[in-house]
Amino acid sequence: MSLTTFLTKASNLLGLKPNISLKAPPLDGEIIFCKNNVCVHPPANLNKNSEHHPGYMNIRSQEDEVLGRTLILTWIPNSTLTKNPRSIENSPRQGKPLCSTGSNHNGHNNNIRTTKPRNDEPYKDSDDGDVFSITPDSKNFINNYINNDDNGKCNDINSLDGIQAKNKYTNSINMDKDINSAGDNINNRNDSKERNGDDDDVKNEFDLLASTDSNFTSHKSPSNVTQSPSATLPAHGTSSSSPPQSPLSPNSSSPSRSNDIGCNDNSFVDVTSKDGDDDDSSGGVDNDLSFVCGVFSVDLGQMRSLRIFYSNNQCNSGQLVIASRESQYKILHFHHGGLDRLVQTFKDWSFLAQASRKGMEKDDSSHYFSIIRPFLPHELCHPDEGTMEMLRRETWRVHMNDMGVINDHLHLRKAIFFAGIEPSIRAEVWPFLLHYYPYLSTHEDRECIRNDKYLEYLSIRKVRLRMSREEREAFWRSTQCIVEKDVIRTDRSHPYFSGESNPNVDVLKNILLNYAVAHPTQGYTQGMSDLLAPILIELKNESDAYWCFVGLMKDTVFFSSPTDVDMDGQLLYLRELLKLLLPSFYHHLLKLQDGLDLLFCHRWLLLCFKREFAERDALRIWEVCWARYLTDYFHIFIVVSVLSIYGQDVVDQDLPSDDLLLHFNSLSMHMNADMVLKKARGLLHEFCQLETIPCTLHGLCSSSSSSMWDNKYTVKVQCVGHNPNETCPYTETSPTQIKQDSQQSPRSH
Amino acid sequence: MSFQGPEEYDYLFKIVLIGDSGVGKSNLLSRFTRNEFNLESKSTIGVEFATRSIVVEGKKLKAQIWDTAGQERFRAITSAYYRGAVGAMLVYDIAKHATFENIDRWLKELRDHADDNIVVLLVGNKTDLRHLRAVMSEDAAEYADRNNLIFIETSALDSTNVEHAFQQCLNEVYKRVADRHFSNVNIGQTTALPTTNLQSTILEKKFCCNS
Repeated sequence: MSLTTFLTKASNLLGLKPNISLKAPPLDGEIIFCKNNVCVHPPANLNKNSEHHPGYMNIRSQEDEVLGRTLILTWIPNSTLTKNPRSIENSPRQGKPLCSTGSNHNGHNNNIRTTKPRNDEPYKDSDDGDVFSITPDSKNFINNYINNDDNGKCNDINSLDGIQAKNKYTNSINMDKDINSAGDNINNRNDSKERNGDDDDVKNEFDLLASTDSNFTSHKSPSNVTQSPSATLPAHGTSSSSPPQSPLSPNSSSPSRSNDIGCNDNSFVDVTSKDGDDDDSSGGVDNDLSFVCGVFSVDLGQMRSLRIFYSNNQCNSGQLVIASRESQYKILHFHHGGLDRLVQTFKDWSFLAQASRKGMEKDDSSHYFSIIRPFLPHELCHPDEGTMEMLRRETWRVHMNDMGVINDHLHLRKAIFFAGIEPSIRAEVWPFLLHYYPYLSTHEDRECIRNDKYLEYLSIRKVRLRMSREEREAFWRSTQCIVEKDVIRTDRSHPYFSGESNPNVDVLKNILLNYAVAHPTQGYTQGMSDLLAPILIELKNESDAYWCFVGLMKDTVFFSSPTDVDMDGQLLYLRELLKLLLPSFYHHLLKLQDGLDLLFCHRWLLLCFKREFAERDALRIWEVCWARYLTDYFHIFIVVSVLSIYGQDVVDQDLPSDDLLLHFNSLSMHMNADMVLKKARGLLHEFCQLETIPCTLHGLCSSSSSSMWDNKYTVKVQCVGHNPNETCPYTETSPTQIKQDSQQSPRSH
Repeated sequence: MSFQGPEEYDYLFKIVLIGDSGVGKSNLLSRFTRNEFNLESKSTIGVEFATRSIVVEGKKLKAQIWDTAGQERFRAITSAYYRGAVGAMLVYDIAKHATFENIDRWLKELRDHADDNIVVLLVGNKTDLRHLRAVMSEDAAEYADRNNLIFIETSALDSTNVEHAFQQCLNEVYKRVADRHFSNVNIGQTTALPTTNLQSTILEKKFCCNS
């Protein structure tokens, strides 16, 4: 599918009418989108609160005679901009000419306003103040920075250099709305100053930067002078008026790259770091953050996909995920709006692209652009969505009678299922969800249970400590050595486990060892430490955490380890549920030889999404699953939900199974838990509405604590065929015959 | 848009990392593909992979390096993991003798699940822990010799030999492919290797450009 088609599709998704008003195509080198304080989050810190690295992002049109027009996206970290020493040193205040060349014409702006993203106030841009244009000249400075500081790893920056050469004097901007809002910027700097609401320091730096640029200009060859009129070309000239290509004059201190833009075949130009994927040079790459948070520049025409995930209902904040054909990913976070403008920019560009790209629809480039909405249409939600309130301390008390008995635990679980638990009362509620305390127990009962279980735990520990030497050796080899390796790398970034020789790490280890001793057939399986850690963090008591963990294990795929019957069972349910609820995805998997191995979601199932979502969200997902409202297998519905929300482009792009694995691995920590849960509840509702279900999924309906269907209904179960040696309780009945579950009356319809 | 994609390569090789838990498989992977090392990396759950391309004898080889948990895995993972692999890095920790003793078990798993002609490297990792060395290089070299493995010692932490190890593995795979050692593969045709994207595992990748 061509980019045009994708973009068209995207705009359809948005419900936007294609903007057919004939807007002239952008000039070569024209910046068609820019936004500051777009964040990059270093992936190493995904589990902590994300570390923000704000930067300046722009998208530039680029023309090549052979290859046609494309867009170059560049992101420059604010730290880079402030670090550049040249901007301070070469700062005679002669940058004014930049600011004096005209005003707005017809909403177009020929002027340039050089600016510097406001580093000191990264998360507070107003919607108006966040739009800037940047002079191509400032790329000089960027290039200088790069070339000075990049220790010879310059071969990646062809594009920047080439662009610099090309568009040095093509100072045009094509963002009507934005320019209007950025406004009468140049002539009225006071205005923009007010609008930006920033302090004078920023403005000063801003000036410095501008002057630096013009300083460069003054050094340049006379050709500059002859070409300078192009700087005043209207932004919306026709494509034929593409600017004269300036020779690669020695206008910057950088050595000129001989490569021209179009020939640049580096798809991912991560300027401050050498991309490990390129050839076999092994330049010494810094291990620090500059690796992920350095200047990033990429030809969007070379990317496999662009995806936009909204994080708010206004559809202006969220993430832009860029995927290369090498399946590398870059995620740019828009915390403060601007994503809507980006979408609009892409959309506009697509119609421009259409004209110039006729006859090229059939190329094999797999661009993709999809819009994922932060809300679900009401009809796809569970009808009870939004009717429940989060379980808070006060409401939690209300659920108990004077004796402490929770009679209406269905209602309690329903609240948790729809709205979650207030984190501060987890320690009180989790023991019920994890089968440590029965709902119907009294305060007194629970006191007894707790005592008994404590003693029992002590005796388990005693068994472990009293092993014979041989036993101990065998145990060490089979279990302890792995547990010891794992506990020291489990949630160590959490305050509860952080620091050297933290005693809580030992508690974690002891619980796992005792569990292995008490459950010799299961022993220890990697991943258990990940499940136990949050429980211990909440309960803060070794024995209580142990027993809750025991309860949890019964519901996980680890339970029957190492026979992995449970894992197979879960995957079987998942396949069947996909077939039923997400047939397009299922059929895609079917096409792939090993798609049905579902490798990409093993970790989801093993750790119940712990590594796919930030801690806060992951624990909420756990609680929702533990609530066992309507089904014991809600996690399977969550998997289907993730696939339905984030898997559509897998199908559209016809990704093979290894790319599928990369795709979903790359989404980890970048998915919207709210939406995933909502959608999953909607899917469960959809499933409950089915008049017949295949016998393969009948197990999904049996919930240990509540029936999936209201008692007055039973569902038809249809045998969908088995291996000859297997028997199915539903085979005797004809496929259409009604199987009555527990009640006698067939489901009415 | 009809650019020549960056994905252009001559061969795609799947290399698997195996070995006990905690020997440094994930860090070898990240060191080689991203030049990163993380002292506090989490245990690997499920399956992950990363790619990097290198040039051998003028051919661009794209290495797809797979990583999984060191401990016993679920059956569904194991078979998919080895499917289509043409190289394996069998990693142990030079400071933990037990991880070396388990090499036999890993070789057996390879024999059970992988192609007979798979290139196997025995990798003694963590050479930065000199003072804690528990496996002598000579012993490992001898073991490797006996079992027809290529032997190398590395440190993902200080980068020693990591590049070299993967290079050697890929060189050897390339050699075997050039000599058509992989019996079930016919250059230029769809391979019998039962994997989707890796159908072209050892095939010359024909790249077409529609420009």
